[in-house]
Order: sequence, then C-alpha cells, then structure tokens
Amino acid sequence: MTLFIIRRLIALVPVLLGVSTIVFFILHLTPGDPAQLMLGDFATKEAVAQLREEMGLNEPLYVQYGLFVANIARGDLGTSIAQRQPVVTLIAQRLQATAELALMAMLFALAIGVTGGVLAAANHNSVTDYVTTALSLLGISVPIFYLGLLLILVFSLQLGWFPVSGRGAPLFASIGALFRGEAQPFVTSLKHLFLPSLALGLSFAALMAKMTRATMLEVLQQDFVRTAHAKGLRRWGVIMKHGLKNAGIPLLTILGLQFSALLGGSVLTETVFAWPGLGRLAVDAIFTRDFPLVQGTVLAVALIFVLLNLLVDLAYGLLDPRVTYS
Amino acid sequence: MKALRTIFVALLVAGASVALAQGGVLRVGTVSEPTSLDPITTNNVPSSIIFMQVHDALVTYDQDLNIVPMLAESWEVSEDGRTYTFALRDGVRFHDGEPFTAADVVYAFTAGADPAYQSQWLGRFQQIEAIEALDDLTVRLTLEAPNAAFIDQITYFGIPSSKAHRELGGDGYAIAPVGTGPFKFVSWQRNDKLVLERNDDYWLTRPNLAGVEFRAIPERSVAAVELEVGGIDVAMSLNADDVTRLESHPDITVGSTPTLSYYYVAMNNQLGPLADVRVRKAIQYALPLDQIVDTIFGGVGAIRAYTSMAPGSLAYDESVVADIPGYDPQRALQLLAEAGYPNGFSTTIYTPTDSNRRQLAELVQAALALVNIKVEVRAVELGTMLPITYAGEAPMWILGWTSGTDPNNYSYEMFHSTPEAWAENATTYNTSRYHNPEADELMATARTLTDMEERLPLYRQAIRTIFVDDAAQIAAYHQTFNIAYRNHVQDIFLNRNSRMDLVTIYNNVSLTN
Repeated sequence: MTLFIIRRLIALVPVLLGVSTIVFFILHLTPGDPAQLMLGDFATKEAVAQLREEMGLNEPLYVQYGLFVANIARGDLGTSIAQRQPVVTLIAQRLQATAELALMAMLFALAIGVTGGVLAAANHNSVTDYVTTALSLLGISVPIFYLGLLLILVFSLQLGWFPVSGRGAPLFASIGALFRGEAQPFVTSLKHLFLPSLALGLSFAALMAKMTRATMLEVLQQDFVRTAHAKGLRRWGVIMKHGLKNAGIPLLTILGLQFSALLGGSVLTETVFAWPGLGRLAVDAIFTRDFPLVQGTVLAVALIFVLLNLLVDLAYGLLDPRVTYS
Repeated sequence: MKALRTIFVALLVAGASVALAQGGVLRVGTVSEPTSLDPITTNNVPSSIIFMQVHDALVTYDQDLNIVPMLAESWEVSEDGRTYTFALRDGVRFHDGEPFTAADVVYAFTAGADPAYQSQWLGRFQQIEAIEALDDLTVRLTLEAPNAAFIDQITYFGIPSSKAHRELGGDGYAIAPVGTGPFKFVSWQRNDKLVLERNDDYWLTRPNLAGVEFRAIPERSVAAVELEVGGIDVAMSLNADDVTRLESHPDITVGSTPTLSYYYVAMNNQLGPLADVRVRKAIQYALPLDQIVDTIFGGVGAIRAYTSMAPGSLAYDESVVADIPGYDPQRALQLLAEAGYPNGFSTTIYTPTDSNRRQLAELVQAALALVNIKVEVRAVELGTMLPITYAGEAPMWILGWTSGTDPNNYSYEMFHSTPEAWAENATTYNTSRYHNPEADELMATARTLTDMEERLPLYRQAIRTIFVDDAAQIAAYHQTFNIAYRNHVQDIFLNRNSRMDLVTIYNNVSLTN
C-alpha cells in the first residue's frame, strides 16, 4: 500500500510536467501580448519593447520554457504580472474558498443525487422514478450561470433567506470557532455558502442520480440480491447494504472524474456569486495574459485533480475487499 | 480589577461603534477587482478609482473638467511649453505621519518613468526629460517636447509616500498604500473586500464617511440585486435592463452622466476599397446610427456620437455635428457606383466580444448589406484583435477610446499620422492609418500652444476635416456612466471620466439614517 502510494506520487511528476508544458505553449502561442495589455492606453512602441524586456518575454521561447520548468522544480511559480504578488501566495489565498465551495457542492451532490438515484432504482418504473429521471435531465441541462441567477432571484431577492453574493467567514476557521462555542461565524459562513454550492452541486447531483439509478438497477438484478431477498432480509436493508455498497465503486470513479467538472463549474459559480476563489483568479489571469498566474492556477488544479483521484483509488479498497494495491 | 477592565473594553467598543455610526461606512459594489493599489505602477480604471481615494494627485478637475490645484497649489508653464514649475501645498501629511515634500513628487515621477518598475505610466512618462526638486516645496519638470495635454494626463497620478514606497517596494506597496488622500487603507482580501477608513486629518476637509468598503461583484445583475436587498449602498456599472428596474424602486436612485468616452467603427484608410473617400462616405450614409444606437441601448447607457468629441468636451462643435451626413442609402449606392463598386464588395469587421459592440457590428452588417456591401463579423477577444489592427490587416473594426479630457487626446492621439509605426506594424493609436497633412498640422500646432482658447479652433477645424471631409471614421456612441445608490447616500457626484467622487473640492458624501 505504501509502495503503491509512493509509486503513484512519483508518477505525478511526468503528469504535472506534461500539463505545465501544454499550458506553457498554448499560452505563449495564443495571440495577445501581456506587455501591451498591461500598458494599455498610451503605450509607445518603445515602452512595450522595454516592458517585454523586463518581463523576459524577449528571450527565445525555449529559454523561457527552460526557466519556467527550472523555477517550478524549485517550487517557484513566479510573480503575477498584473497583480505583482507571488503566484503561490495568490493561489494559497484562494484555495480555501474554492475548496469549501467544491466540498459543499459535493455534499449536496451526494446527498441529493444518491438519495434520488436509490429511490428511483428501488421504485423502478414508478412515479418517483419518472420524476427523478425528469428532474435529473433538467438538472444536467440547466447552465450553472442561469441556475445561479435564478437561485439568487428566488432565495435572496424574493425570500431574503440567503445573502446575494460574497463569502462569509472562512468555513474551516469558523468550524474551529464552533468548538470554542462561537456559532455566529459558522452560521454566516454556511449562509453564504449555501446558494453557490447548491448552484454548483445541482447539475452534479443530477448526474449522480442518473448514474446511481443505472448502477443500482443493475446490481439489484444480480443473483445475490435475489438470494438476500429470499432469505427474508428487510427490503431497505438489502437495497442499502447489498445494493448501494456494490454500486459504490462505479459511483466513486465518477466522483473522482467529475471533480474536474466541478472545478470547471466553479469558474462560473464564483463569477455569479462574487466568490473569491481559484476560478475567478484564473479567469482574470487569462484575460490579462498573466502567463505566470495562468500557469500556476492550472498546475494547482491539475495537482488537486490527480491527488483526488489517487484518494479515489485508495477508497476502492474500502468498498471492495478484492482490491489490493501493489 | 477584571471587572474594571471589562467596563473599559465595553466603553471602548461602544465608543468605536458611535464613531462608526457617525458618518457610517459606504459599501460600494464595483465590477472589476483592482490589480494593484500602487499609483506609480498602475493606471487602469478599476484600480485607480480605489487608490485615488487613498492618494491625491498634483492637480485635479472641478465639476466642469477645468484643471484645478490639488497637491500642487499652483504651477507655471514656461514660454516654450516644455517646463512646468509646481509650487506644492505646505503642511500636508501622509497617512504614516511623514510630511509631503518635493522629494515625494520627484520619486513618484522618476519611478513611473523607470522601466524597472514595469509601470503602466511608462508610455506617458517617457516624454519627461528631467524632474528635480528646487526646494522642499517646489518641483520643476521638463518635457522633451511641448505637450499641452500633459497636465491633464497626470490628474489621476496619485503621489505615494516615498518613504513607504521605498521601504515596502512596489510589490509590497501594491497591497498596503500610504497616501495623503481622504481615506486610509485598512485591508484587502482579494476578490472579496477592500476596506478604507476616514483620514481624520485630511488637509482638504474632514470626510463625512467613516469608511468605504469596496466589493468586486463581476456579474452586473447580481450587483443590482445586492443593491435591492441593501447588501451594498452603491452599484457601479449596471446593465440597461437593471437600470430600468432599479429606477422604479422606491429606495434607490439611479444617477447617470454622459462621459467623454468614444466608441467607433474604424476603417483602414489605406486598405482596399476603404482607401477611397467616396466609399467611406457611402458607409457614413448607409448607417442609420440614431436607430442603431437606440436599438442597442434603448436610451439607457449611451448617446449617439457624431465625432470623437463628446458633448461636454471643450472642443465639442455643434456646427460639425450638423454637417455629419444623415441616413441616405440611395446616396450611398450612388457614391459606391462613382467609386467603381456598383455591385458593392465584401469586407470584414472585427469586434471585441462584449454584447454592445457585437450587436453594433451585427447592425452595421445588416445596414451595409442593403447597399450591397457584404460584411463578415468576427468577434474576437481584445488581446487578439489589437495586433491585427496594428498590422493593418483589419479592414473594419469596432473599438472604444477614453483618455482624460484634453481635446488633444481625442484628436492628435488617434488621427495624427504615424508612418513609422505603420511601416513596422507597431503599436499606434492611429490604427485607421488616417493621413492628412493638413489635419496633422492643425493638431500638432494645437499641442504646442498653452492657451486653451487658442487651441480650440484648431481642434474644431481638424475634427471637421477628419469626420466631415475625409469620413475617416464612423463615430458611433458615447457611453453614459450609470450608478445606482440607496437613497440614504447623499451628495454623491458622477464625473464625466466615469468616476464616482466621494470627497473632493466640490462634494463630500455622507449617509443619512
């Protein structure tokens, strides 16, 4: 097991190298000059040339690439061109905000999606099934952007239940405060988190519902399930213990893979809800051709994605005793 | 003892909250996050609207866009128009307690012109030949060549405490600025909240507000909702349909002012059929601009433009406006036939991706189709589009321009010929490749004169040549600057540079209960 983890972590290196290489070249081959964009109005030819020199953009591309890789190897992601702060700092500032958003969205997705899927499968071809299937189709089809605005209009403007936008107290810190007996930060934090994570989680929930339903239907038709029923076990006991547990592995795989979609969706969610996360950072960086910052955020997201899938692989062992790691 | 301390703390807290209630904190929703709060390196609007609350410039505008003293009590321009001598205000202190002196001014301009700082002012400050402190409160600045618009170009160049800037470095200062302005910097969580507090010792007046909180809300309709529920007091830059909704809200006021911004349909004056003035005039006749602008904006957000000079600009000229051709497709067809294109021709129009300009491009496409000019619309991101225009490869494109208030910036900078840049496909603002020696001469002369009254007729003449005689460009619209605010916000002022004034020589915003 330890060996397995170590080997997977070593395999991370070529993956990240590949990602950074692709990002580097896509960025540098896209039209748009960061020096020009930065100077904007009134930039003379000389000023742009001088700035390019200062930024090291006049070096041949392979030299720039070499420097870039060498710096990454030392853990230095460079300095943001537009914001003039170390890229690592900027990412670190945003990471928690996006993490709590993604986590909450995931919780919503699991709670709503798995419940819906199990109910639909257990009541195959019933009204519950049809309603769940229809709702999940709707959920997958509605754009996050639109859904976000809709939620704001209903729950913030009309009902006034939740704040419109912005982030409350940091979630993890407010959980800490909760243990010290202060509930207020935690409540504000959750209130601010609720709508954005719901918007982000719903399409994911819909997908989970569809997948859960399909795999559950398959599992529930297996012989061992029939046997369990024949032994006279309680119906929901069979569905949950024999059914859901065996449907778990494909669901887990999707969970890991779809997490990247979740991070992608966070770009839109963070824009609608003015959430100070990684997605907005990336968008701002792309529009200003802030090379170091784009590279940094993409690398960070890639790293998260790979690590998360490693966790998923490890979790297989918990669900299926036949899985061994070597 | 412990009880005593508790009482003491309670009193302190109570005191603080009373002080805060007096004046209150204004919560402002902006669209874009500032990039940096360092005025020496930064000159983009989202940053500038915030750091100019913390800093003061040497000069500023009054309500009518005349330039008036700020940190400079007065200034003199030499006979040849190249040397400016500024007499600085005495007794002004930075937020860190340091006195404001000539050394701070020299430091700021020198750093801004130094490529090592990678400043957005670099292009403008390269014209500065020398700057020196004559004594503690006098600065002399010399330009390489006379430029009557220079003083206008530094109205938003805030002067930082040179001590703080030196100690923190440009990158450190960007997140912890120390100026002389009406508000002191408190904190900034990026993409979330930026907090300023009142500078009780502000030299101009005591600000009424106890503080200001800026929140960047990128989605404009969300900002409108935030205003409706009272989550913010002011929302800047609104969508047209949100403006209409907010106008009928009992607790909200919508303020609007026309700006000097200028949006246009550009034509490459040296490329293909468009090199022929008859073709350009035909296009002028073929576009029903009143209708087009009304379709896009519905009366909210912009007014129709006739030339690059907006109403309110000193060089605005009714007689030129009257001579800009109206909609006449028959005349357009006739001109096209005369130019040798009886069956029209095909061309391409580039536009940035925002919905207003994309819509403009599509309406231009539809209107020109009626006179047999087939237009392909290409909506691309600005960063991709600009190099294509610099290279002279785009036949037509849509862009906007806003650059201070001086008429020079809306004539010379866009229409004075730049053959060297064109030859090298280099950056230039005359991307239309318009070249008329007569207009060149007028605008170049006006730039060297220091008396505005003498300059204005020259600009008006040049603008007539460019827009009426040569039809070098199609003026489309001037944007209006809209903000909406809760009714308890008093004395807010929108200026024509698309900025909201909080504490100036003519206003001091406060909150009532």
